[in-house]
Amino acid sequence: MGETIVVGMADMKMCRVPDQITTLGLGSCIGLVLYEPRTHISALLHIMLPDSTTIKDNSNVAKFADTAIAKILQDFKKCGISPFMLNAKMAGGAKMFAFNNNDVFSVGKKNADAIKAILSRERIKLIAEDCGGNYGRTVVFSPEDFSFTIKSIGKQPVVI
Amino acid sequence: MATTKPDEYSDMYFDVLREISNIGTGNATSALSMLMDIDVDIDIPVTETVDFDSMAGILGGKEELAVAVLIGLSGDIDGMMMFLLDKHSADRIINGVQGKPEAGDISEYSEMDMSAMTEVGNILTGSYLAAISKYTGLTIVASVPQVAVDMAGAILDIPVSIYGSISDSVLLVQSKITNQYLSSEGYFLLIPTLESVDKLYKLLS
Repeated sequence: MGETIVVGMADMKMCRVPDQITTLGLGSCIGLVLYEPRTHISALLHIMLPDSTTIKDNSNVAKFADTAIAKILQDFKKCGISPFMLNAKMAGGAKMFAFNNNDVFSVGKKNADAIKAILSRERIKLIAEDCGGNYGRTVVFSPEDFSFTIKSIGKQPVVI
Repeated sequence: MATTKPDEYSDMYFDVLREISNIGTGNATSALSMLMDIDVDIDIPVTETVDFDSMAGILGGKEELAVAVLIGLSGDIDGMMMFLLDKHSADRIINGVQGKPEAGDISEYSEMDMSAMTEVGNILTGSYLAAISKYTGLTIVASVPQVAVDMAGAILDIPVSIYGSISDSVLLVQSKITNQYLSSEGYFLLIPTLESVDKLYKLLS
């Protein structure tokens, strides 16, 4: 049994067998897993906002969908892995409060949409997702069998 | 404000928030004391900036159950305001306002409990905003409150996604009330839009 690597908020890390990788308490943020099925080399990203280009301080690349994915694709390239070889799974993007009139409350959906657009552009296959709803999620990915387990309060864990 | 550098900007943002938060919190905690009809001691509020990743730690960790009351702000200030507390503290307050301060932890909130929490949040944020409004002369309109009970990390995604555009930390105002039955720590997060902070800054300086 390997270790469990923890990814913080607006953070990303690579992971290999036999370790697992997790990020805790996703609300509107999204946990995006990218993995290469042959080598099992994987990464988990905790993405907070959809787009770095509209933001004044965008120095933390891991915060935004566009810059975070661009950075991790570079890291995969260093391992000899091109984007089209990758599969993806994602979870999160919830709407934690039932307000309708404020843009901020749809940031979860915007995050999901932005990530999907980038995955499609990079020809990365989105294998499974568990996004939306009004509840928080903790996710754990196992590079060994590519299982992505999603835990929420008062719910049975979901594996995608 | 396009010419302002990010770090100057966030310094200014936090200064403005700290100033008006101190005004609001005192008023809000005395409202809570009156609401619960018990003598409570109110500590001087502590204002601190906390980085995103350690913020949930204040409530016991990202997966700890937390309770948040959120209201939207409009009028002269756009944005939102959150009253946030750990589940244990929320249980104390919910029991307290329902006249059973000795009751223990609540396993699952009933409709009545949720309604009590909403009302507490409403009164607290209302008196907080009234103080700010009186001090600045600005009109602040509060929306109907929404309550969420979930993992601390997930709830905090809302303030974080707003502060996230200018900074990697959030301004928390901690207020602590204690009496013989309870020791409740609650946090106020005032989250104006960047444009509203400009307005506040001009008013205060």
